[in-house]
Order: sequence, then C-alpha cells, then structure tokens
Amino acid sequence: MLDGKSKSDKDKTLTIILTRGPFISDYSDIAIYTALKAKKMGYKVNLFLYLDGTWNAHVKRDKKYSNPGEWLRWCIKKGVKVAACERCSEARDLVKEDIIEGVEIGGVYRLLDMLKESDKVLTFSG
Amino acid sequence: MNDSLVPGSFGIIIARTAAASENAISSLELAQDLLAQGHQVGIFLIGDGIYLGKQGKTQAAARIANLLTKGAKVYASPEHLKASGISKERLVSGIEVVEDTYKDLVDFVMERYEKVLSC
Amino acid sequence: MTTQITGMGGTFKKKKRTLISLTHGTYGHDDDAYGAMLAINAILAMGTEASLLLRDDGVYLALKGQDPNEIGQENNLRQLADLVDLGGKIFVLGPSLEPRGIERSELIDEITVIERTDLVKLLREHELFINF
Repeated sequence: MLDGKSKSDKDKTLTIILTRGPFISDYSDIAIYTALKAKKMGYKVNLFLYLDGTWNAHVKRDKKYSNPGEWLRWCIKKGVKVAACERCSEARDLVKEDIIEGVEIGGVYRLLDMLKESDKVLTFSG
Repeated sequence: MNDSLVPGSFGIIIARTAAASENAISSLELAQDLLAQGHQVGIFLIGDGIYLGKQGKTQAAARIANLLTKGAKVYASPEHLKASGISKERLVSGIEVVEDTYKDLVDFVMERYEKVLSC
Repeated sequence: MTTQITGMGGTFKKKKRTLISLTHGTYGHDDDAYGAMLAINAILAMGTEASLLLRDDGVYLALKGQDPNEIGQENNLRQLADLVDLGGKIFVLGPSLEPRGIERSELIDEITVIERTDLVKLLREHELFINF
C-alpha cells in the first residue's frame, strides 16, 4: 500500500523553462525569481534557457539596474542548475566566453535529464 | 496557503493579458471545464496576468467571477498588482492577493496542486 | 521521465507523460514551433511517452502541403512525420480551427481533433506540461 506521497516535500524538483530573452517581457524576471525562491525554500531547481531564453546568459556586465544576468549569477551561486540549449546558443553565436560563468551549455537532452527528475515544470514562453 | 496537495487538482498560472494571447482566456475556459468535471482548480495571476483580474465588463472578469462562484481559488501577485495601478478593491471580488508573490507561487506550484500548467 | 515511489511492499517507477502544447505554428513565428518539435521528438526518442497539442495558431502547423523552401525554412511537416514515426500523438484543438477558417480535410491525416471537454481527459493522462 502506498503512502500517497512520492518524496518528502523538500526532495521535490522544479524545472523552469525560459524561452524569452531579457527585457522584452517580464518572463525572465518571473522565471528567475521563482527559481531563486524555490531554491531558498529547499527544493531542487533546474532552469533551462531555451530558444531566445539563451540571451539571458549573455547579460554579463554589472549594471545600475536590476537585470536578468545579475539574478542568474545569484541563481548559480545559490545552487540552481542553469543550462542553456546548445543548439539555440550556437544559432545565436553564444559560446562559453559570451555567457555567465556557471551556465552549462548542453543539448536538448540536458533538458530531458532535468525533466526526468522533475515533479513540476513551468514554462515561460510565447 | 495552508491546504495540502489534493489529488486530481490543477493549478494554472497566467502571466499574460487577454489581448496578448488567446491562451489567457482559453486557460480560464480550461479551468471552467476542469471544475465542471469535478477537479479542484486554482489560478495564479502574475505579471501581465494580473490585468485579467480587474473588475469590468470583460470576458476575463466574467470567467473569473464564475470560477470563484464554482469553488476555484484565484490568487494575485501583490507586487504586480501594485505595479499595474489596479487597487485591490478594483479586483474581481473573491480574488485573494497573496502575501509574498514568489513564496506563495512556489507553494502553489509545488505543494497545492497535483498538476500545474503555466501560460 | 520516471520518479520513484516508495511505500510498503517496495518501490516502483512511475513514468511521467509529457504534454507539449503549442500555440504558434506559422513560419513567421517558427522558433517556438521548432523548439517544441525538437523537445518532443527528443523525449520520444528516449522512449518516454509524449503528446503534442496544437491550439490557437499552433493548428497551422498541421496544414497539408507546406513548402517553406523559398523562405529558407525547414519544413515543419518533416518534424511532425518524425514525431509520428517515434510513436507520438498529435492532437488539434477543434475550437481553434473554425476561427482560422480551417477544415479538418486541410490537415494532415495523422492528427486527432479534440474538443474542449476532451482537453480535460488529455490533462488527466499527462503529468508534465510544457507550453510554447
């Protein structure tokens, strides 16, 4: 007989997929802030930058205003697993040197690895 | 938010206006269909989704009012509400403005609903 | 995608079925369509169950006779054919067709048109949801 719960609350994994670039909408902010909060609350968190979402990792320089790059660096520091789609990055000429340190460039199979371990998936897209 | 996860329940996060995407209204329609088939439903309005919750003669407001009368929970992000200039009193009656946008969103996603969709 | 469920009597794996919902299906907005197809075909290639739901402008993806050669794009029908070969299912939301003046006969054969109420059944049958 099952107990009805798969894991303890804090063993759960959230994967967030972001397909929109920085500044064009607030999807970057919402996705990244959600990732940070979930990590702070003790969940395992993955953030996959897909399609134009890969541009968020290109926001490397310090700015006088809040920006997705700053928050992504914070995510990495706090242990959120951040990966950018290899194919999408290559299409946009984004190589390792162009993006924030700690963002892994991986194929779509990296996304699948994230999905495999996920209890919930959020997409900020469209 | 204190209730624990209910099997067969659905949470829907809406981050767009009705004009920006058909998906916003169709998500509310989907919520109505889920309720009609006996599922518990919650809606979380965040980002541009907050505008759907404004009182007025809009399809969104009518659907949200209907959802609330049928037992759905509808939550709104306080920081996006404040940014929009829409006062709490101008929201469709019954929408609950949460205390902490992201803490309550994460709770909504991870603990409150068995399945979660975002649009 | 699997998760382990532990209880009295041992453990078993619970497979998670993924529903990818696509609301953009035109060549003028192809990145989302391409991204969705890449993702779902990869999921299927890994042997995990996945379905594609075309709704809103996503229904255009299933139109017969597409030939984007002259605009320098890849033909989305090839991706759909791969999806079918990999064992995936394609659902088209019926209420998205009429406002776009699309008849069932104009769509590829390998799709199933569903109504709004069928959507609930589809959601019940899947655990993870990705929206493009």
